[in-house]
Amino acid sequence: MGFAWSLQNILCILALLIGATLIRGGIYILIGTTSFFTRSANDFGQYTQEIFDKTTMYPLSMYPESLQFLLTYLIPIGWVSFYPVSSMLGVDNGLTGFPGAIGLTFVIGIAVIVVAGIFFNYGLKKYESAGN
Amino acid sequence: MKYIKTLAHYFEVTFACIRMAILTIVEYPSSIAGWLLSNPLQFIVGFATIQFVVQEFGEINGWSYGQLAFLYGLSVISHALSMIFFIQGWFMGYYVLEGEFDRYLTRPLGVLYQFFSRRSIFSESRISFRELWCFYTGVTRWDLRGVCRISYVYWHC
Repeated sequence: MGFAWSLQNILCILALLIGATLIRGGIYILIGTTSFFTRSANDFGQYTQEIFDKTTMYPLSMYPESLQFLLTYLIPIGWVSFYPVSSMLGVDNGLTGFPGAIGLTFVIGIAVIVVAGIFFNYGLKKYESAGN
Repeated sequence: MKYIKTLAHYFEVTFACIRMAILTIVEYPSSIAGWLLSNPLQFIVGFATIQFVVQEFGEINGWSYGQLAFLYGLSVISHALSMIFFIQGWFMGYYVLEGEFDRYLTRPLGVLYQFFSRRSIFSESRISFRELWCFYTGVTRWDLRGVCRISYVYWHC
């Protein structure tokens, strides 16, 4: 399969997991923060989880190119597992040929969580108490 | 020095929140049992689906069975980690409507930190151990008996 349990690969997996977790968490925060503006209790968590399930647990390259573009450059879900894993296993990932996909996952994870934090703080300014 | 003190304070509060979360979970053992019965089936069925599809069509877009198991395992591990630390994000709308952020705004800690440390599903760490095993066997070798082996390991660990 092209994977060896070397120290480098183990560190890569740890970096990948941290980056992937931050990307997921950041997207949860971004979606949850919209409730400051909509003042709605709609639970988007389950829908978000379904989207993550279908797009991270299977190869992204099996989806149409438009969807691959969306999940690579606009909503970085492809970086949660597909691009770093395909880079690690030496599988052609179709849309992009980034050689440092694992490091990029970590960087994107940091970026997403920072953007989510900034957006949350901006949304918090719109918060109005329930008057309790 | 001030930032180190602040960071140390946040770590201290985090460990206290982790301890409270674990103690809370332990208070409801039947809830944990029911959840542990139902949750593994979701992922085992999802993984078995991949095997059946690969058995039927050979491979999925050039990805072999072992590679798909690797991808699936890593994805679910990151899912488990995000559930441990960020699941509160699912319910932010309810907290906004109920005015729960009032108390967070009056405390001398970051609002986002307080919100997410309020509830951490550390029982998800058991999922992480299971997915680690799933991921490892996906890397090494895999067959339908592996599914039964994983289930056996899961129920007995």
